[in-house]
Amino acid sequence: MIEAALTQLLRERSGLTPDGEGNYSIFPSTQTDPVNTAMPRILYTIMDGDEDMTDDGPIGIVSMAIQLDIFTAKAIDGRLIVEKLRRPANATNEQDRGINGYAGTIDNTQIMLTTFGTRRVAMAVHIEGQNQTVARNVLELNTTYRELPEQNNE
Amino acid sequence: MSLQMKGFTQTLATLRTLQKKTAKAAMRKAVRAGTTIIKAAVKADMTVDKGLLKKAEDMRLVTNGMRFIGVAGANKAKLEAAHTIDGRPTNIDWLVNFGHVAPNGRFVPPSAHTYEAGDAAQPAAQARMEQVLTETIESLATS
Repeated sequence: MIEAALTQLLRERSGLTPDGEGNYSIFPSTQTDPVNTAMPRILYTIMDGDEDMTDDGPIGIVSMAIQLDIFTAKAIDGRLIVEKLRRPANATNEQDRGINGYAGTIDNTQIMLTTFGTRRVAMAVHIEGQNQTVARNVLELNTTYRELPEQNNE
Repeated sequence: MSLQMKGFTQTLATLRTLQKKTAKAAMRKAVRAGTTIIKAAVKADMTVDKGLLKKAEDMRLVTNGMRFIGVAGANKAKLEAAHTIDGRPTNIDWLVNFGHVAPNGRFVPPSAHTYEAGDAAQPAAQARMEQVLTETIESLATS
């Protein structure tokens, strides 16, 4: 599934560190915890998706627009995550690799290309109930992928 | 979103023979007709705060030489006029479409209504643009 592949990609390349139990704060945007729980936190939303068609029907290649919302305690932390993600996916040094231009297969999802859109917003968000301000960075991620048939390993 | 128009060679050939000013008028009319359909679709797909946002939905054309861009979305001036009364933010259209943090700290997910509406209305908008462009050019060429 693209959600699982995306989560794994973000886990590997965003520079986020896991909590004590090895969990990363990367969730779909329908997650209901307050955004300032376990920051830095990345929320993703599938905004739009089109499957390529031919006269014989869908061919299984999907183009998708995904919004990433990165919440951090400090603006600089958010900016560092954004810069890390926007680095080229094929950088020589493995630690420098971002997801811009990424192509590869994760589990059974073949990601053909991942690029960032032009929309990039940074803002301060005040959480009134807790009287706290956090930084929110919004990125637009476009990906083309297809789901491969399940591998039978028996 | 961008629309690509193909397959009506004769109309485009006639368009090239027109004076630049006349051709621009025809293009403007066609893009306006297409954007009107997108605007109506965005308005109909509004998921949150329907009254105020629906009222504020508007469109305009941006021209740069022979490039015409139709923009559909909330009119900030209309929102400002409405929101001086209740103190709501004037970028409410953006907040609904791209999500926002509620006062309790929970993230309200993006509605993405402009994406869905744009996708759904694209064929109709394209057909309308082609129709208006063809009609306008034919009428200008024969007048």
